[in-house]
Amino acid sequence: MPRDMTTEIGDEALLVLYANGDRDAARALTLRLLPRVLGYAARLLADRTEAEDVAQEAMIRLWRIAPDWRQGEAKVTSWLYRVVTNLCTDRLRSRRRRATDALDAVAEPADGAPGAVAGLIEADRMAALQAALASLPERQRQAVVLRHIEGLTNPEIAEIMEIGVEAVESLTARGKRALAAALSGQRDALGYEESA
Amino acid sequence: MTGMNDLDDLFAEARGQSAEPSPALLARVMADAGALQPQVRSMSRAPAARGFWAGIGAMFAGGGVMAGMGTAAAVAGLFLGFVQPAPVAALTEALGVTALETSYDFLPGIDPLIAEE
Repeated sequence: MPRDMTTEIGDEALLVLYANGDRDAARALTLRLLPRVLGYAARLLADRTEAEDVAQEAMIRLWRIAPDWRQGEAKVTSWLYRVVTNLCTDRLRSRRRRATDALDAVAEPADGAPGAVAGLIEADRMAALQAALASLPERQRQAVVLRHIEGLTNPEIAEIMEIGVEAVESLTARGKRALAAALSGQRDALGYEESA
Repeated sequence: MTGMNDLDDLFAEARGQSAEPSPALLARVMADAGALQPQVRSMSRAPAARGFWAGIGAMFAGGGVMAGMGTAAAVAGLFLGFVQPAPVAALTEALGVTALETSYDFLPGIDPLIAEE
C-alpha cells in the first residue's frame, strides 16, 4: 500500500491491513494513535515516563488483538481509551499502595484534597490545569479529560468507562465544579490577572 | 473561583496541545508492531471450518474424486451398451432379437496403417 494513501484509510481498515502484514499500516496507526494514547495517559497519570510505558503497553495490546479484531463492534480509539483507562487505574492504585506502605510524607495529592494546587510552583496554565486534574477523584478525572480535552461524546465515554450516560454527565459536571474550585486562587498562574 | 468560561478556555488550550511521542517511544512502539505483526499470508487460504456434509464427503475421499468416478462409470456403461459383451449378445440371441447385429469397432488395430505402407 502506498504510504500517502494511509491518511485516507480508517483506523479499523488500517488494523486489518496490519494484521495482513502491511508495515505501512503499522506506521500509520502508530503516528495517528500514539499521540492520543500518550496524551490521555499523561493527563491521568501526571507522569510522562509512566504515561509512555502505558502508551506502549496499550499499543502492544492493539497489535496483539489485530488478527482477532471484530469489525464494526467498537471504534479502535474507544477500545484504546478503555485500555489506557484501565492501565492507568492499575498504576494509580499501585502508586497509592506504595505511598501508603512507605508512609511517604510527600505522597501525591489525595483525591479531592483541598488546596491541591497550593504547592504549585510553575506559573504555567497547563501545569495548573494538570495539577488541578490530579486533585480530582480518579473517575471524575477520567470523565473530564475524555469529555473536555479528548473531545469525546458522552455515549463514547460511557462505553469506555463502562457506565451509563447519566453517570458520565454527573461525573463531568462534578468534575468541572471541583476543577474550578481547585483552580480558584490560581488566577495568577492561569494568567487572568491582566484581563480581570 | 475560576469561572467556567475560564475553564473552557483552558480545556480548549489543552485540546490544542498534542502530546508528541519522543523518537525513542516511537521506535519502541514500531519495534513492537514489527515483532507482533502476523506473517504475510500466502495465496493459499487457511482451511475453512468443515460443516457436516463436508465431513461426509471427506469420508469418501473427497468430492472431486467421487465426481471423477461417476463420470468413469457413465462412460463405461455407454461403452458396454454399444459393444454388447458376449453374455448380453447370447441373451439377445436366445430371445430371438436379430436387429442388433451391427457391431462397432471402437478399438481398431494398427493393421490398416501397416497395410498402407
